[in-house]
Amino acid sequence: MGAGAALAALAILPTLSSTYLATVVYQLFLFFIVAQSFDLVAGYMGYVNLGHYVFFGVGAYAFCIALVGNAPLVLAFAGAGLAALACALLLSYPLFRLRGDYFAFATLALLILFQILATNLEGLTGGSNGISLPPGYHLYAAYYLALAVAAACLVVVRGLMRLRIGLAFLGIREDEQAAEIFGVPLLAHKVLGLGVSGAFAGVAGGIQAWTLSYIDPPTVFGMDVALVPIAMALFGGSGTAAGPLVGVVALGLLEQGLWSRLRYLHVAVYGAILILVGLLMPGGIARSGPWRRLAALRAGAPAGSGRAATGGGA
Amino acid sequence: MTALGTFAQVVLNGLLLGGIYALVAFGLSLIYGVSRVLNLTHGTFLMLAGILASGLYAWTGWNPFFIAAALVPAFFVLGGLFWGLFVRPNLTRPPLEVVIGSVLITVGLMMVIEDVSLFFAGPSLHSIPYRPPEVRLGPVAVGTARTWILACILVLTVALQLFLRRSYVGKGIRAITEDYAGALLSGVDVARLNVVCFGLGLALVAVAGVFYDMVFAIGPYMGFPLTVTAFTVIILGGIGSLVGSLLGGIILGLAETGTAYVLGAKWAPAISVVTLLLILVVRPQGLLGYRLTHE
Repeated sequence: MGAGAALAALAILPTLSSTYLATVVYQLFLFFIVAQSFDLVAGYMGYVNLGHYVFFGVGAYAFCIALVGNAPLVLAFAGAGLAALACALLLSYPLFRLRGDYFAFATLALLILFQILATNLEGLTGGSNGISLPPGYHLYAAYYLALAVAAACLVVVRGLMRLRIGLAFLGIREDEQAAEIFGVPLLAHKVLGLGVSGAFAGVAGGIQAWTLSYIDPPTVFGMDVALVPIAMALFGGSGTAAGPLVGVVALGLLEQGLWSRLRYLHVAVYGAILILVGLLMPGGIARSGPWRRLAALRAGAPAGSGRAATGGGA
Repeated sequence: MTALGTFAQVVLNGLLLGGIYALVAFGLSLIYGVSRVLNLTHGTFLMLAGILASGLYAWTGWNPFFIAAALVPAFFVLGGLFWGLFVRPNLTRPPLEVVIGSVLITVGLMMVIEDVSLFFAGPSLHSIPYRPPEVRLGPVAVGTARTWILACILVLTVALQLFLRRSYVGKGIRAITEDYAGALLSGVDVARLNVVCFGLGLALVAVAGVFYDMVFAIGPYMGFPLTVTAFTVIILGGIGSLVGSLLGGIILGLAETGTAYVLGAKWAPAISVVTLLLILVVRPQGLLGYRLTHE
């Protein structure tokens, strides 16, 4: 199994490599959690939730507030996931009245609202001063936690897509009315999708806050950070099995290269990537010709990932 | 200042803000009506125009109304280019890809313009500190920058209304906005009207940007929140309706300045997002019959 080998390699990586490499890979885990959970709703269900990072930010704030209130670490992480889940459930009522570009637009507007809330509700969030956690060094603990959550996210998304629920998601993406006629309860599935997706992003936010030990509104609700994982998922290929992973690795490593050389304008670079993906290959890398040929070569002997390869045109 | 004076000031600011919002929103709804593309870069173009205008003012010292007039053709061309380079190539795809593609392209463009403006103009606020020569009507001074701007907005609204009602091109625009298929069947030249609407939309935004610069101040991050506001105005006033945009803009402008006065300036930017969400919950079909939930 390639997946098991990859997991084992990632598990022993920190013991073999430099701290720098471990930090880079850890960051990729977090990007992956956010990108993959975004793609559950965007790629498979067809609802492009541009404000997905709201859940990440809510998780980060819930984690910090819990930890500052002397909650145990485990509870703080659970709180991060639950707060994001609750937020997703609440927001799905107004949001899922919308479709297509309206949905994308309204969710993006949520980022503004949450940044305003985080800045203005000073009693809860510390306002623009943010929240500082007691300092501590836990890169390795965070590394393994992030690895575990990333693996869980991948397993849950793949698992859901093997069930009837997954078929219902695809049905919603392709033709909502047809899915409803075939007896798919639309709202229940949408709420489930957004809830799962939000909870994972929330936990990722908690982990990020734990390692940063400081958060303020722009670091968790800023539009510049919020659109990066989404760019990754779409660049890799939204709605395909490999897409988010490919996108996170490709753009994450590119960013490591850019950060060291380019002091300014890296947001502009991400913007340009989004434009190019939109103009040239809305299917992303995983649907491009060369990648398909590569996958076909690899899948030559065993059958397996046939369903993934035909992931459809999102 | 007396309570009445403060109240008048709040109302005047609300009217000004609302008038500016109306110009931005009307541009957005022109573009949406003809191309069915939600232009998420719209407010960012206002930020760009405002920063360019304040730079131009600091450099040349020209009258800002002249600068606004000079930006109109430039932004008209920019709008045409925007349509030709970024919107049109995307439209020949399957419907779901058109939506995702146009969202990606307009969001990407927003990020690029924002970051490039930040790089060249810095994170600080820009404005045009222009004081026009005083004009007196009897004992009352009326010639402030604000009254001139209000007058300009009124004139622009009337001119646009005449253009849409009377001219051949304007009738074409209304036809497409109201019934796309019907307009196509009647031989309306959609490609040309798209260029006109993107051009006009951005030209309106450029003028609004200069006005915004003269009354308030413009920073690099205000673009997207302004797009949200413009969109809320459209939902309030109905798409393609100029009078509706003006009313919606003024309602929102007054609500924002009123909120700033009562709850403090920090809550004013939340008004349009909250209004948008409330309308979605209470009346997803929009206020003036314009359906939001409809593709």
